[in-house]
Order: sequence, then C-alpha cells, then structure tokens
Amino acid sequence: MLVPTSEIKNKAKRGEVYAKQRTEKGKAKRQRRQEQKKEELANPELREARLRENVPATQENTREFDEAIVNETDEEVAEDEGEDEFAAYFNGQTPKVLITTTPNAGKRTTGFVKELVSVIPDIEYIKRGKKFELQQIIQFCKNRDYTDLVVVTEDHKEPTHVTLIHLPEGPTAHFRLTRVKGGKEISGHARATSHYPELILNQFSTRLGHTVGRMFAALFPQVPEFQGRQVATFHNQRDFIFFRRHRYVFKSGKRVDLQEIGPRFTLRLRWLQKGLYDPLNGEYEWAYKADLETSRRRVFL
Amino acid sequence: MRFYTGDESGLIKCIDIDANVSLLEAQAQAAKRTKAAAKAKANLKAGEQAAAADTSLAGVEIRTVDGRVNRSNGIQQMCTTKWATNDRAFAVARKNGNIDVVGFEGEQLFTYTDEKFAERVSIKHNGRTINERSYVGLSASDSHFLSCTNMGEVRYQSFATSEAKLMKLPLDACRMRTHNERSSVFAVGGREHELSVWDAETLQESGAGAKPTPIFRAKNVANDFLNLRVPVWITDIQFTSEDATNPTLAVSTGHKQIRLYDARAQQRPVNDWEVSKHPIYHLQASHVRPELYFADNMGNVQQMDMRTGHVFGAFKGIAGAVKSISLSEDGAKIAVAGLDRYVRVFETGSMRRPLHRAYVKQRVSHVVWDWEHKDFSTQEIEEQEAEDIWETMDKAALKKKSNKRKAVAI
Repeated sequence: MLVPTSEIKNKAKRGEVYAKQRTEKGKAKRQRRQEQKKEELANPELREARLRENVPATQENTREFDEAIVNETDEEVAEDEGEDEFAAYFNGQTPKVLITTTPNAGKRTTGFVKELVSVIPDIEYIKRGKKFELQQIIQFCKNRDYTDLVVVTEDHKEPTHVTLIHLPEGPTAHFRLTRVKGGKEISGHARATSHYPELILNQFSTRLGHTVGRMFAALFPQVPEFQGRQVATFHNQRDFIFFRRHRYVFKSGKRVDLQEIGPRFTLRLRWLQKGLYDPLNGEYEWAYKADLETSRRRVFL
Repeated sequence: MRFYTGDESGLIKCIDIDANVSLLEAQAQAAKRTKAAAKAKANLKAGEQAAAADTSLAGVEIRTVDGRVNRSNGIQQMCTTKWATNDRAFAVARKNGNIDVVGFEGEQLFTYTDEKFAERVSIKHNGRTINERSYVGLSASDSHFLSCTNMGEVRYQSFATSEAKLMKLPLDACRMRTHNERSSVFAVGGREHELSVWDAETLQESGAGAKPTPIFRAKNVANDFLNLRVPVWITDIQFTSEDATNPTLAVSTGHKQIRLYDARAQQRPVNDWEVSKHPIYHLQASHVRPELYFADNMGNVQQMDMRTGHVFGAFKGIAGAVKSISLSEDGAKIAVAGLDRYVRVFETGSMRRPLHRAYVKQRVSHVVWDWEHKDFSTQEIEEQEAEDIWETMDKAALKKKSNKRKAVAI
C-alpha cells in the first residue's frame, strides 16, 4: 500500500517511509519481470504480443505531422520535380563545380576546401581575391557555364558556413557547418581515390528536403565508378545533415566492411532562396526563424 | 472557406477548408494517425510494405481546377472576372505570355498570345540587366482585360473584338493595380519608375496621335538629410478610396517604406514611413478597416494602421516569402500564400492567431478568397434540412373551427 509521502510532515519520518516504499517498489518490479520472463520463455507468443503493443515513442516516430512529406506515388510532385531547376542535371548535364571561400581564408578553411575538392569529382578551387563581390563572381561563373558554386565562409579562423549556389538561375542554400573533421584526424582512415563516388541521400522526406537533396546530388556525376568502392553519404536526421565518406568492401558475400575516408562534417540548413544569391532583396523559399520552432517534434527537411 | 490559387506550374487549384475543424483538432487527429502508423510500421511482417502515409489534414480538401504541371505556363498574375452571363471565371497571365480566361470548372474560355514574350530580352537598365519579360498586372472586366508587363507595355483589349489600346510606359515596372470600382483606372510603379495613375479608356488606338495624360503622377520625396536623391522602387500599390478621379493610394517600396498618396493634396507622398527591416514586396489594404497588410521577402507579414503608420504586429509561422494576400468578405480573416507552398489563414484581430493551413504542393503566386462561397455552421445546416423536410410534406387540410356554440343536450 503506497502512502503518499507528501502528507507526512515530519521530514525524518517522511524520508524513512519513502526509502522503504522505494525498495518495495523495486522488489515488486523485479518480481514481476522475473515472472514475465518465465511465462514468455514458456510461451513466446506472449512476448510477441507485448512487443507489438509497447512500441516505444522515439523522437523520430513522434515527429509532428507534416503535409509536406512527399508521398512516393504523388504524380504532381514528380512532375514538378521533373521540371525544376535541377531538371537539366537529371537529364544528363555534367556538373561543373567551382569552390571558393570568403576573402583571406586561413589554413583550416583551405584545408577543409581541399578535402571537399577530393570528395566532389571535377571540381575547381579558385582562391578568393578581394577585387570582386560574390554577385559578380556568380555572373562570371554563369558566363563560363558552371553549374554550381560552393562558397565556404570563414569566421574566427575556421569554416562556419557553406553556401551552395546552383547556376544558372537555381536556388541558393546556406548551411551552418559544424563538427568538421578532416580525414587525417580520423583514426584508421582510408585513402581517397579519384573515382566517382556513389551517393547516398538519406531521409530527405519533405518537399524542401527533396530540393536540398537534389542540390547535393547535382554536384556529383550521375554515373558512379563502382570500381572505386567509394560512397559519399548525406544523412538527414531531424534537420541535421551528416556527411560521411567511406570505402566499402564485401566480405565473402556475408557482410560489408566500411573504412571511413573522411572528411566528416554536419550541415544545418539556414535558408533556401529562390534564385541566385541575394540575401538582402532575394525571395526566400524557406528561412529559419525562431518562431518556426513550435515543438521539439517538428522538422522541416 | 474556399480559396483559389494560381501557382508557378500553371495550375489553378480550389482549396476548401472546413471552418468548423480547428487547426489544433486537425493536428491532434493527424498525430494519432502518425502514432498508429508508427506502431504498424514497427510491427510489419518481413517483406510487407508500409501503407502509404495519409498526408492531409482533416478539414482540408484540395482539387486542381485546371492545368497540368508545366513551368512555362506558370501563372504570374490572376484575377476573377465575370464571363458572358454571370459565369465566374479566372483571368490568368502566364509566363509564356498567354492571357487565358478559365472558367471556375476549368473550361477554356479565351486565350490571347503575346508574341513578344518569345523574344530573347537582355536590357541593361539602371545598373541591372532585365533578362525576361513578365506580367506585372492583370485585371479583367466583362468586356476588356488590362495587362501590363515589366517592360511597361500596357494593353487594354476587348474580349470580343481584338481591338487593343496600347501604351508604352517606362521600363522596369514592378506592379500594376487597378481600381476596385472602375477597372479601367490603373496605377503603375517600379524601379526608378515613379507612380502614375492612368485611365485605360482614354488611351488612343495604337498608332494614333495625342499622348494620353495621367490622372495622377507622383513626385519623389524630398532629398534626404545628406541632400541625396532618394531612390525609387515601388513594389506594390493599393487603391484606398472609392474615388477614381482623385485617387488615394498606398504604396510599398523595396526600400522598406510604406507611402500614402492623395491626388487632391499633393504629388509627393502624404505619408512616408519606414516600417520594415526587409524590402516589402506585397501590400494589401483592408476593405473594412483603415489597415494595411504588407509582406517582405522573408515571410514576415505585418499589420499596420494606415492613419498613424503604427505596426501592430506580425502573423507568425510563415517560413517562406509571401506572394499573395487575400482577405475574407468581413475582413476578419486573412489568407496568405507564397513560396513555402502553404495557404495559411489567420485572424486579423489583435491576436493574429493562425486559424488553418493547407499544403498546396506548388509555390503559390496568387491566392483569391472566394467570397461567394458561404460556410454554413452546423446549426444552419440543420435548420436548412428541417426546412427542406417541412417543404416536402403535404399541407394538411385546415379544419374550420365552428363559432356556433353547440346546442347543449338537455
């Protein structure tokens, strides 16, 4: 019989009663679980029934309902994506990517940029000067038929943001970059080769997520070189996009061994703008604002 | 509540939101569904596919009235009009230059094609390059339609005959709006293109002589405190009075200002307020209160008093730039739609509470609130049903009550 201890005014007595009740509760719970184990050992169906009913609530499966999650069978969304800004890439255009930084980038940022250069095939790194504004650089890239421009922002001597601008008139995505770890800092890391990697885009579920996923896909050549056994993964979970690069090997048909090549970093979408980079006057398709965070279970990608 | 949206893919959609189902209720129901789906997914037998998720909120129904996904047919401007005998229709201006009239059930009623839109365009103007032609305004009455492109080409054409009155305004117009009562009176403004109000009826036939005169031509504000010219960038215009000969207008600028003009007072703005942190791209005047609703490029929609310039507050929860604002008939509710692919309904009272939302799958360029669609509350529906039952019953014969006293049997 559990006495509510909040009604005992004497602190010493209250503590005594509480401690006693706690041990009794623990004993009862252990006994119940032991009996349950015995029953389920005898009758495995009981265990199955229990597991079926007690599905634990995780952050992933209690995600707030979002109508924007794309249904695979939705024709309208499929047609819309067939005509969007990435249609040229998905119809065979080879990507031509340029990467640069904000002016006066330091060692850590250029180190990160050089790692990205090894990840994305056929990419060009050009050191940023102080003569031209980013909007002018975008025009130069358009004139030279580049398909994407990546700008790594540096702040306090380390890379903090990545701006991905799809050309000629495509969307601009701005990400916060955190937890950057170069390949050399990963113990037991593998060595990269110049083969085109395979690409994995995980859990980009909403329409916005699809757009961002397609932006990443448009950086890589459509047909990977399977001989290279390299795979680059963009894994989205609760609006954090984790990037990993691995080398894989199949062991006697039973399992796959992975060795991480690196780099390793995390991206978080800050805003997505329709059209080219124009943070002041351009129109935003999605911009993070504090009043969008109405609950812990709400994600947008 | 019923809305019609025009979007970038050229579709016109009809959205029915049941006003009796609140957003919280619909979300609670959806949460239950998600929980059940999560349970079902965890208990899948090997090889079974998860059932397709039901991605719709309760109380929201969306159907496509017209069109198939096609970016070149993207709707840039949209308005409602009456076609022939009291049939309501939409007039839409498309990206490829077509102006179509589409009935409310999707019938194609009229098409006009502008060949100029097929030409390549690259004009350097005021430090920018204009790369494409687009429609910045469209309005239609029973007999004529009035359109304006960003190159300043105004076309006042009748539906029946193809006689058109054309006018060339300066380049870089950003918006053309017509007066609510007189649909031939229109105002145009843009980047370095100062506000001017014209009457399309006074335009001459293409090629004729005298130049038309505007009803009102605005003048730029005085130089700023450094004696520098203030740049002009008009993004949206609203007529705020019934008078079409001496109009009063509200104008939003890309330099974060809201200005009020009064043709009877002066050419310069009567009021000039800097109200926003971002360029304001859309403006809507309330037809019941002296209020303005303005939207910027980041999804902030704010409500302000037109008499004092005081901003009451913002409608929260919008993620992307709003392209269109529409009010309900009683002005108590507001619908906003834009690049985040949702139509959201808020109340316009001091709380600015979100009432409902509908996911439209496309980036919406225009939303229209259907004022002629009446929502019936459940009480009204029951009363109507009771009425119908009484109507169908036969009238019982009236027994005439005898006034004569019956003889009392003695």
